[in-house]
Amino acid sequence: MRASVRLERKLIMRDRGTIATACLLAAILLLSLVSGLRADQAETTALRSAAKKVQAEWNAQPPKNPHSAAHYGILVYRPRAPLQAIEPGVLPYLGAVTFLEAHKRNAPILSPASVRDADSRYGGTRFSPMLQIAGGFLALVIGFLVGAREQRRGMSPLLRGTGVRGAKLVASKTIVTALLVTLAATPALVIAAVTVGGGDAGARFAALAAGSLVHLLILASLGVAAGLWLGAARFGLAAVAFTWALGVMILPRVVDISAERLAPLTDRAVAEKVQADFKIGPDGHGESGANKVVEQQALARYGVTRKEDLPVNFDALLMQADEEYRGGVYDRRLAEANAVRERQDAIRRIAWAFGPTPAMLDLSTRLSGADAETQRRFDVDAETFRRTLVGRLNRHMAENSKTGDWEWTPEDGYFASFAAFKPPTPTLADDAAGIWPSALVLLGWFGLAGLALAFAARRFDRSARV
Amino acid sequence: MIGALIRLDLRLLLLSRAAWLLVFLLSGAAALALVSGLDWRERFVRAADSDRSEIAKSETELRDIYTGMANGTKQPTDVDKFDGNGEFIPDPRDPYVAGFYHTQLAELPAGPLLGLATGSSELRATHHRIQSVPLYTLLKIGEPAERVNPGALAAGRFDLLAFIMYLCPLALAALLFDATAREREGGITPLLSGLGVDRHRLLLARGVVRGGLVMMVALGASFVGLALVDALGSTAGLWWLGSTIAYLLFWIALLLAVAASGLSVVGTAAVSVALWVALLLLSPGLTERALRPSGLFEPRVLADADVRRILRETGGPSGIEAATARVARDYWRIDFATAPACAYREGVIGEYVQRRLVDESYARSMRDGAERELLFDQRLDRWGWLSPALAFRRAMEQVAGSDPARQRAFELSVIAYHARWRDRVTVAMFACRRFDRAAFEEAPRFVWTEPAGGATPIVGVGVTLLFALGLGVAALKRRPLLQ
Repeated sequence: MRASVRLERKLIMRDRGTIATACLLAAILLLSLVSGLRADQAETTALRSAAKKVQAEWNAQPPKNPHSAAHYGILVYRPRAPLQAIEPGVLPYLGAVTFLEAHKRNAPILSPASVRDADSRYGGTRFSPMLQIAGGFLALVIGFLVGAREQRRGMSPLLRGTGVRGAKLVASKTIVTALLVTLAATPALVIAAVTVGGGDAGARFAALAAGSLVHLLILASLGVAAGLWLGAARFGLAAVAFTWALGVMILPRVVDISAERLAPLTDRAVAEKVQADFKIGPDGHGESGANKVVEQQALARYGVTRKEDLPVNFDALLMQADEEYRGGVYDRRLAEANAVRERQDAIRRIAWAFGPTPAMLDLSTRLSGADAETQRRFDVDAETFRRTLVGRLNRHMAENSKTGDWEWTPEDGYFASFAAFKPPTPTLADDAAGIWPSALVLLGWFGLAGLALAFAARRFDRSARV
Repeated sequence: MIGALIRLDLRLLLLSRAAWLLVFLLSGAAALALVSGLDWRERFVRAADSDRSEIAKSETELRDIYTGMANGTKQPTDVDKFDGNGEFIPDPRDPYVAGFYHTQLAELPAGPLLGLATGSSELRATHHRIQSVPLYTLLKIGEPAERVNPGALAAGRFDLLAFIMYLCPLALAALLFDATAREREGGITPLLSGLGVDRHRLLLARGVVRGGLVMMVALGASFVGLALVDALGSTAGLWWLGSTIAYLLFWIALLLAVAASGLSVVGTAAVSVALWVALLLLSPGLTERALRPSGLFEPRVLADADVRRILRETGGPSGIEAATARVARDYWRIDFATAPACAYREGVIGEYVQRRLVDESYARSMRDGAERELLFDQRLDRWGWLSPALAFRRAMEQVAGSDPARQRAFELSVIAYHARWRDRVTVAMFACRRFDRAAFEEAPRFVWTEPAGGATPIVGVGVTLLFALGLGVAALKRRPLLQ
C-alpha cells in the first residue's frame, strides 16, 4: 500500500497539469480570503456608529410624553456575524436595521446588497463559498484527472498486468488526491484561522475548516471514481463537469423555484391578514368596539364608574392593551409565515440530494452564523426589546399621570435610564440544531463517495480478470 | 480540407454518447433558465397589481365625492371641526385632506428584456405609493416589494444570462479542451499530418463544430426568450444576440488558444477549468470589490437615524416653533406674519414642517448614496473590461433593463415626483386655494422616462470582441501539427 501511495505521489508530482490546478486552487483561496477580510468593514463600522448615535440621541431627547417617545421610536442594528468576512451567507440580502416604534412590528430594512450587489451571487468571492464551489470543482477535476490517468495514456493493460488490486489502486489515488487538495487549501485555512482568532469564532472556524476538508475529500473521491469509470471516454471530463454544474448551479435553482410555487408566501398577504386582525382588537388611537371592553375591565379593576375617576391614566392603559393585542397578532401571523418559509426550506433541501456542495454551502452559512436563523433571532430579539421598551413607557405614563393628560412628561434623565439594545450573540452550541441536518447529509455523501470508490475498485478488478 | 475536417468532427460528435448527453443537458438547462427568468418577470410585473387597483378604487371614491357634492347628495366632513365621532367623508378639495387621500402610483416598468437577465431587480423597489406623507415612509430605502426566500435570493436566480455566462463557457471548455492534445497523445498526429492537416485547420474545424454547437443552443434559447418577452427585432434584442455572439466567440478563441498551446490533455483540461473558475467565479467579484468606492452604504444607514433625530428635536412645542420659522424662510418662502390668516393652519402646520425637514434630510442622503453609486458605475465603465465576464454581465443587464443604474434613476425620479406632489399640497394650503374637480383630474401623474443609455454595452461588447479577435489570431497561427 505504501509503495502504491509513493508511486502515485511521484506520478502526481510529475503531472504539470494537476500541480498547476492545485496551485491555482491555493491562489484562488488566498485571493478570496485577502479580498474578503476587509470587504464589509465599512458597512459594519457604519452600522456600529449609527447604533451609538441613535442611542445617544434617545438618551438626550428633550422631555416629552412617554407614549410620544414610543412613537418616535429607536433604530436597532444587526450585529456582524462571527465569520462574516469569510462567509457572509444570506445576511447581505436581508435588512440590517429595524425601526422600533409603538403599535408596529417593522421588518428589518436596508440590506447591504440592495445598495449594491458587489459579489457575484454564483459563488461570490468570499473565502468559504469560493472554497466550496471553486475548490470543490477543482478537487473533482483533479480527482478525475488522477483517476483517469492510466486509461487516458493507454497504460491500463500494463497496470492490470502488474497484478495491483483495485482497492489498493483506488485507495492510493484517493489518498494522494486528498493530500494534494488539502495541501492546496492549507495556506488559506491557516491564515484564516489566525485572523479569526479563538473563542466561539475560532470553534466555528475549526468546524467549518473540518467540514470543508471533508467536502473536498468527497468531491476528490467522486472524481477519482468517475475517472476510473469514464476515463477512456472522449467526453468523460465534459460529462463530469456538467454533472457538477447541474448539481451546484442548476438543480438547486430549480428546487428554489419549485419551493416558492409549492409553498407560496408574499409579504403583502401577511400584511393584509395582520391589518384585518387589527380591526377587531383594541385601538389606542382610533375607534374600536374592543376599546369598550378594555375600559369596562379597567373600571371594574379599580372599582370606579368613570374613566376620569381612575387613579391611573386610562389612555396609557388602552395603548398598552392595543400593544399587547397587536403583539399577539404579530406572533400568530408571523409564526404562520415562518411555517411557510420552513416548508420552502424543507423543499429547498431536496437540492442536497444532487451533490454534496449544496449541503456544504448550507452548513457553511450555519457554522458562520450568517444564515436565515440568525436574522430571525435578531428580528425576535429586537421585537422583545420593543415590547419591553414600549410597555415600560406606557406603564410609566399610566401610573404617573391622569386620563387625558397628554402634556405630562416624566422626570429628567428618565429616557437615559433605558438600557441600549443588546443584539443576540449566539454560540456554536446555540446553532447546533440547525447545523446537524446538513452535517449529516454531508456525512451521507462521504459514505456514498466511499461506495463509489469501492465500486470503481471492483470494476477495475473485474476488468483485470477478463 | 476544412470542410472534410468539419464533417469528420461532426461525425465524431454524433457518435459520442457523452456529447449527446452534454447537448441534452445544455438544452434542458437553457429551458430551465428561461422558465426561471420568465417566472421572475411575471412576479415583477404583477408586484404592483394590488396597489394599482387600490389606488384606482380610492380615486373613484374621491370622484364620487366630487359628483355627490355637485348634485348635493354628499357633504364632506370639515376636518378642522371633526371630533372623531360619526362617518368621516374626506373633502378632496381641502389640500390637507387631499394630501392623505389622493394617492398616486410610481411604477418602474419591467425592462425590455427582464426575464432574460434578473440583475438587481430582485433587490430594489419596483413601485411606490405616492402621498404627501414623508418620503422615508414611502421609499423604505428602496426595499423590494416582494421578498424572495433568503436562501434562494442569496444563491442567485438562474436566468438566461447565468446560462450563457456560466454554463456555455463550461460546455465549451468541456468540448474544446483537448482539441489537438487528444490526437497527439493518441499517436495519430503523424497520420493527420501526412494527410495535410495542420494545427490551425484542425483547431478551426473544431472551433466551428463544437463552438457552433454551443453557440446554436445559446442563440436558440435567446431567440425563444426574446420571442417570449416580445422583443424579437428590437434594438435591445439585437444587442442581446450580438453580445452573446461576442462573448461566446471570446470563450471559443480563448479555449482554442489553450488547445493550441501544446500542453497535454491533463494540462489543457486543467488550464481550461482554471480559466473558467478564475474568469467567471473570481475575477468579476474581485474587480468590483477593487473598484468599489467607500460610502455606498453609509448615507442610507444614517438617513433613517437623521430622520428620527429631526422628529425628536421638532416633536415638542418649542422645537416646532423654531423649525416652522426656519422652514417658512428656507423652503416655503412665506412670512406668516404678513400672509393671509388662512395660510397658517395651526392644527397641521407642525406636521408639514416636520415632513419638509425630514424629506430634505432623507432626499439628501439618498442623493448622496446615488452619487457614490454613480461613481462606482463610472469606475466600472472605465475598468470593468479587465474582467470580460463582468463587462459582459453589466452590458447584458443594461440591455435587459435590470441594471442598478436604472433602479437608481427610478428612485431619484420618485424622490423628485414626491417633492412635486408634496409642494402641490403646501402651495395650495398657503394660497388658501382648494382643489376643484378640474384640479383633481389635472393632478400630475408619475411618468417614467428611461435613462439615456450609457456606453456600457458598446464598451463591454467591443472589448470582448477585441479580446476574441486577438486570442483567435494567436490560436489559429499557421503551424504544422507535428511542431
